[in-house]
Parts: sequence; C-alpha cells; structure tokens
Amino acid sequence: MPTLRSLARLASRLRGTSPAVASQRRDRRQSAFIALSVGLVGAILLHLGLAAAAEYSLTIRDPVYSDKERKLARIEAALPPGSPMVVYVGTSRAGNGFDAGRAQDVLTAALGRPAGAFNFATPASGPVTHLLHIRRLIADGHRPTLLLLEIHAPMFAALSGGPYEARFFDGTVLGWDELDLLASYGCPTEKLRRQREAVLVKPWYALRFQLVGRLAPTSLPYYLRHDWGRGPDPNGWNAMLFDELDAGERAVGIERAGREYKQILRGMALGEGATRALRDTLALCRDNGIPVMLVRMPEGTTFQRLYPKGVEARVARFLNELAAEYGCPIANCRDWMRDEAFADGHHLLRHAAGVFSERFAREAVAPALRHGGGGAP
Amino acid sequence: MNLQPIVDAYTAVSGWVTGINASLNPYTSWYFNQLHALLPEPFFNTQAFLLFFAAIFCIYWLVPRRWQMTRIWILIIASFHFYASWSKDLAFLVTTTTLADYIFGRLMGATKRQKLRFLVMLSSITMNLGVLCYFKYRGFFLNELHSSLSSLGYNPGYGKLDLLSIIIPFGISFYTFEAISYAVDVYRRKIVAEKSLARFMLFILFFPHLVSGPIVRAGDFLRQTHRPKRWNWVRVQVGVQLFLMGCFKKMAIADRMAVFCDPIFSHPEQYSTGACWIAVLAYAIRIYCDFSGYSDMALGLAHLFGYKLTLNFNMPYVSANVTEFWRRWHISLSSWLRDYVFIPLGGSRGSRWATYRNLMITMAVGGLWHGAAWGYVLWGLAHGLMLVIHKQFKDYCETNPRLDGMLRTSLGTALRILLTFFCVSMCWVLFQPDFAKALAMYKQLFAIHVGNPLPLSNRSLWYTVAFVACCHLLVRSGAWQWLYPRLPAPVLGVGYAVCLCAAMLLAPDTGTTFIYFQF
Repeated sequence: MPTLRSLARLASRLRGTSPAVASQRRDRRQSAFIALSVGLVGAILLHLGLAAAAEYSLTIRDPVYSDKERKLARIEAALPPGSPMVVYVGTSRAGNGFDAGRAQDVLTAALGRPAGAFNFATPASGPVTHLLHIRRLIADGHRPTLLLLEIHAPMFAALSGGPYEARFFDGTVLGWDELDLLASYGCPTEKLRRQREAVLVKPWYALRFQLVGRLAPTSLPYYLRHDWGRGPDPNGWNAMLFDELDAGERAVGIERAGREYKQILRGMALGEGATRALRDTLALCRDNGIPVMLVRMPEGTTFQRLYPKGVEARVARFLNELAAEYGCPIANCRDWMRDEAFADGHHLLRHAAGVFSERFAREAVAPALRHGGGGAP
Repeated sequence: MNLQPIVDAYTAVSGWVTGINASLNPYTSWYFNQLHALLPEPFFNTQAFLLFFAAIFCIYWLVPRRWQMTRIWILIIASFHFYASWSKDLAFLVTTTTLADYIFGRLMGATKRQKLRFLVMLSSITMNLGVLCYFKYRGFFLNELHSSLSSLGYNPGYGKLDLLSIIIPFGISFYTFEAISYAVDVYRRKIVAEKSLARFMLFILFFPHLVSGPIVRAGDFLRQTHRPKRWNWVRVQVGVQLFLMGCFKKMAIADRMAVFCDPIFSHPEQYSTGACWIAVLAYAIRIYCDFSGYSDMALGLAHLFGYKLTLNFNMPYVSANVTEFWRRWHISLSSWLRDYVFIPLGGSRGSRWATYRNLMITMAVGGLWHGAAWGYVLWGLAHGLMLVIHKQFKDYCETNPRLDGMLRTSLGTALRILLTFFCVSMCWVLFQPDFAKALAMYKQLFAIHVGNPLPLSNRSLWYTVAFVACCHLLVRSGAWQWLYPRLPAPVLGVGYAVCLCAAMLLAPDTGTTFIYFQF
C-alpha cells in the first residue's frame, strides 16, 4: 500500500522540483564546497607554514638548544667586552652538577674582573651531540674563552648500533646536513630521516612535543617537554630538585644507573665514531681559536666500580693522547665528591653541585683562564 | 546409516584444498606480507590507512555512476584487503562465513515451508555463534570448566589454555551480530533475502564498519546498495566533518586520557585513592571518546562512499537515567539486544518480575558480547540491575507527582545527570578482563590509601574534562543546533583545518589501540 509520504514524493516528482528548493540545494552544495575548499587550503597552509618555520627556526625545532643559546647570548651581552667566557658542554651529569652562576662568581673574584660561565650541557648527549652543538654555537657567533668538554666514558663505547647516544637522538630536532654528519660517525639515521621527513609532511604531529612542551608543558611527561634549556637559572644550570636523598632513594638510583651502564662498560672498547667525533670537535675548536679543557665529572665509588679493570686505563690513555695532540688540559674530578653527594652515583645533588662548582672554578677553570685558556690546571 | 561416503568426500575435498593452499602459499604469503607492510594497522587515524583510503576513494569515484556493481566490487575487494592486511587466514574465514550466510539467506528466500526456513535460520545462527564461540569464548569456557572440575577433585584431562595466545578475529562480535540479524529478519520476512552476492558481501564486509561497528541492519544497508551513488558535496562535507571529529576525539582526548588512566587501571594498588578516583573519571571520558571517535570516523568514511551507517552515540553522558543512557550509548548494540534478545524473551509484556529477568538476561548477554571474562558479565549485570532499579523508581515517581516534579526541575535534572554519570563510571571499573584488578580498584577507591600520585600533572585532565562537558552542554542546551547552520562556510572550513592540526598536536607519545577492537 502506498503511504501518504510516498504519494507526496511522487506528486512532487511529477511536478518537478520547485525553483526555491532547487536554489536552496544549490546553496547548500555551494557552501559545502566552500567549506571543504577553505578547510583543505587552510590545512595545507597551516602545515606549510609550520614546516617552513621549523625548517628555518631552531626555536621551533630544537627548543632545548635554542633556549640555552639565547641564555648564553644574554650572559655574553651582559659582560664587558673582552671578559673571559667559559662554556661547559656536556651530558646531564654536567647539567646537574655544574652551577655556572656560582662558578661565574668564583671566577670573577679569582680573576679580579668580570667573567662569565655558562652550562650548555644537554641530557643523553655524547661526543656527536657535543660536536653538533659546538658547530651550531660557532655558526651562531659564539667564541668562548674556554670550552669545557665533558668526557663521559660510556658514551665512547663501541656498540653495534653506533655510539650509545644514538639511541636517544630525535630526528625532528636535526638539520638535514646534521643527519649526514651523524651518519658519518656511525649513527643509524634511517629512523631519524623518517622523523625529519615527518616534520615536512605532517609538522603538527612531528613537532607536537616541542610545541605543546612550550604552550602547556604540564600536559606532557617531563621527558617529552623539550624544556631542559628553559629552567629558571640564567646560567643554564639544571639543578636537581633535592639537596639530599635518603639511603633507599639513593639505592634505587644506583641500581638504575648500574642497569644502564654495567653492560656498556663491561669489556668496553673505544668506538671509532665517538672518538672521531671528539677529535673533530677538538680540531674544530682549534681552527676557531677556542681553547678546550676535557673534564671528567665526579663519580661516586658505586659508579666507579662499574668500570672493569683496564677500561679506565684505556680511557685515560686515549685522553692523554688527545691532550698531547691538541694541547688541551684534562681536569679529572672523578674522586672529588663523596658518595652522599650523588643521587645515583654520578648525578650530583643540588647542594653538592654548588660545592663542586666552586672548587672546580677555583682549582681548574681560573688557572686555565689565567693561562689564556690552555695549560694544565 | 552409512556415513563413510560423506567422510571420504570430506577427506578428498580437504586434501584438495590443502594441496591448493600449499602450492599457492609462497605466492599468497608474499602478497599478504607486502600488504601488511603497506597497511600494518587497521586503524583509521594512521597515515598508512589514509593513503589506502585515498586510493580506494579515487578509484571508486572515477568509476562511472552507471557501473554501480563495479563500485560495489571495488569496496568488497578493498574491505577484504583491509582485513587481510592484518590476517589473511581470518579474512578468508570472514569471507567464507559471509558466503555461507548468503546461501542460508537465499535458501530461506527460496522456500515457503516455515519449518525448513526455521531450520535454515537456526543453521545460520549456529554457524555464526559457533565461529564466535570457537574464537572468542572457547578459552574462557574451557578454563572455567577446568577450574570447576579441578575444584571438585576431577581430572579435567587437559591443561588450562593460554588466553593471550588465542587470536580473536577483530570485529568478530560485530559482523556475527549483523549476520544473525540478517538471518532472523529474513526468517521473520521483515526483509527479502538479498539476491546479489556482491551486495550481501558489502553489507557484512564494508570496511568502515567491519571491525568495530556500528552494527548495521540489513534492512538499512542493503537498500542503500541498490541506489546509484552520485557525487554530492554536502555528503562529502558531512563525511569529512565526522571523520575529523572522530580523529580529534580519539587522538586528542581518548589517547590523552589513557595516559592518566591506563597505568592506574593496570596497577591500582600502587596509587593513592585520589589518583584512582581521577583515573575512573579519565577512563569514563576515554572509553566514550575512543569508541564514539571510532564510530564517527566509520560514519564519516561511509558517507564519503555515499553510505549512511547507524548513529552509534548521542551524547550519552548527558543522560538523566540509565535507561536513557542505553538509548544514547552504543545505540546499534543496545537496539540489537532489544530486538533480538529482550523482545524475543518476552520484553516487558509479562509480569514485572519477568521483565526484570529479561532485562538482566539481556544485559548479561550484552556484557558477555564485549568479552569472555567475568568482569564484562558483571558489568552487564550491574547495568541490568541499575535498569531494574530505575524502572522501580520510575513507577514509584508516577505515584508521587511532587517528587517527580522536583526531579524534573533544572537542578533535579542536573543531579540526575551527575548521579547517572557516577553510576556508569563506577561500572566502567568492571569493564576489563581481569576481575581481580577491578576489585583492587574498588578497594583503592573506597578505602583511603596513600600511594603514587597521578602519572602526570592533572591540569590538562581538568581542561579536557571541562572541554568535554562544555561540548555536551552546548548540544544538550540546543545552542549548537542553533549555531551550526548559521556558521558561514569559510568559518567551518577554518574549523576543519584547525581541528585536524589540533588532533595531531594534542596526540600523546604513543597512540593506543581502539578499546572496542578487542571485542
């Protein structure tokens, strides 16, 4: 049986669509087309805009580096011309352990004139990252009076997947030429290239942690925020939250550090890529007239015990050769601090970092600066 | 009766099939491995899927409108490949059961003998439920039987099965229910048995709804396959809009909420009471945005091919009671359960107690449909109990107009919405395979316990809660329905672009799989 509705539909069909209805339909189709076109063009423009911005701005792509670089520029600008400037490039151990502000005060007092000190350490870094950052710093016009370069032995281990630090690389923060540089030191770059390509193809996704880390950092876990360089310290120090830890908390930290490094240090041989990266860093600095001091950060006895016999001697021999070849002094501070000073056997707690930095500035950095950046401390 | 000829024929056919399979295996394996490399995950919000979809979309619309059957075959082949990229064996299984369902349908359509029709329908249901039980419930039932026999001192004669090692074809619960509803509807003569194999295959295999619903009805879908599809910008706009909305719900809200609730639901005993309460809230939002996000994407994709699927969600968290909640939550399942379980059981036609019994049975089946674990069954029973209580309370309110009036005021409605949300959220704790973890979670919730705080600062969680609540209020108040048609087209366009970028920007570290994929 035909229903009323079907009869009405039939009647309307026979009558033909009224001009008003036809025009309404046309309008709807037109507005749908406009909305979709604007949406498509808008999405393409937003993607192109961010991809282009990321291509040319390290602030978007690598906020950790650019935040630190800006702070360094501020410190340099505040110093009278010709004042000595010390920059420490290293790993998270240097990041936590070197209170550059306090070192700056000590250096100013020791030298009798204004001096600057800056902590340019970044976490999960090693000789390849350090070379990359120093290249960028030089390109940005920074010429420190003395460059302190941390030597963290496990980062020089010969491992099957390239240098240890390669496991922590993030392709989105790198430049295209830097990818080639990384590859030349034996770092696997296939995944990094894909990540870097994603910055071009889907930048809002690839750079989301950089952007959200800047806009709403608390919505991300700390390790995704890209905010290591943004801490409140103007001299770049990333202090530990605590002055002291109880034995239980320290034991957890020591166990974690052991888990991370024990395997790497067992029978460790020096990796070709990492050692070459260090040599190239020293050569680059020499070519640019930047004196370098190699620094071994303090380590607790628990961490020192992770080094099997022979490994430490091998590392020391390698460093001595470099020191002789490039004329750079070595500051070996491994035994400077007691076990209570560390959170996990190798990262200094806040108070201990201040104590270490004062002594380090007084006993190692100031004498080196008096000798024009070089000379044994 | 001599069954030997049948056994011989079966042996010969299976030997023949095995032989063909073995000779083709090197080629098919290579082909399906390549397919898996191209489309590693059957998730709609991945780059690989979008490329796959774009290719199918272009081919589909390039085929002239008058070649409707070609278009249908394109969709069937695409759907098969979509499923086969995950598991070729299971894709063949789904296709085979679909063919069998088609034959059963045709048999029912070919005869007028009611008994025979009934037998054929029963065969279809048995086959579908058999496949479902074999893959999904075998481990659960055998393990429960093992435990029962062991506790009674009998030797079960077999070891407990490792449930994690059993591969469950994804979406099996969804397409099984679709096939059953088809068989029942043909038997009841609500629909005519579909004559075209292609159209029937598309009804079951259509990839937007294949793995996580909505559970489409043959009557709704098959009719659409008969209409030639013509390009329509309005429809494309609806499809794109739904897809983007689904992407945003999944990536920016559901996956973000998973960061808060997943670690706590996995190890509730390690977290403080406050953290556990917040995790329950986060889970309620997560499961809604996860599933409704998927459904929106499925609806959007279907629209882009000119098909309209059943609406699956309608702002369930603004429900003022549990009955309303079930009219708004997973609508395609709740209406399926109503039509094929509750009403055949007698519905609410009998005595009050019979109605309550029917409700409890229906909801228990609904719970079991989700997963083979006691947690899901209890979840279903808890909802059944709440429905019974609501029915009782509604009857009481009818005899007490003053109370009824109070509850219908704005404040009363707000309180009812909050209470419903609270009850539903409490039930979500049960909605997991590990019942012991659900119990541990309840213990943490109701006994003050000091433990780890939330894994992440809760500020972003509150912003998300406020955003979801605002969206619900906007729709509930009718403001969105008023505003949407008045928005200029360019503003909508900018909205789409921003929505896409926001979904990408707010996606967390690792996306999680869709919760309902496991069902």
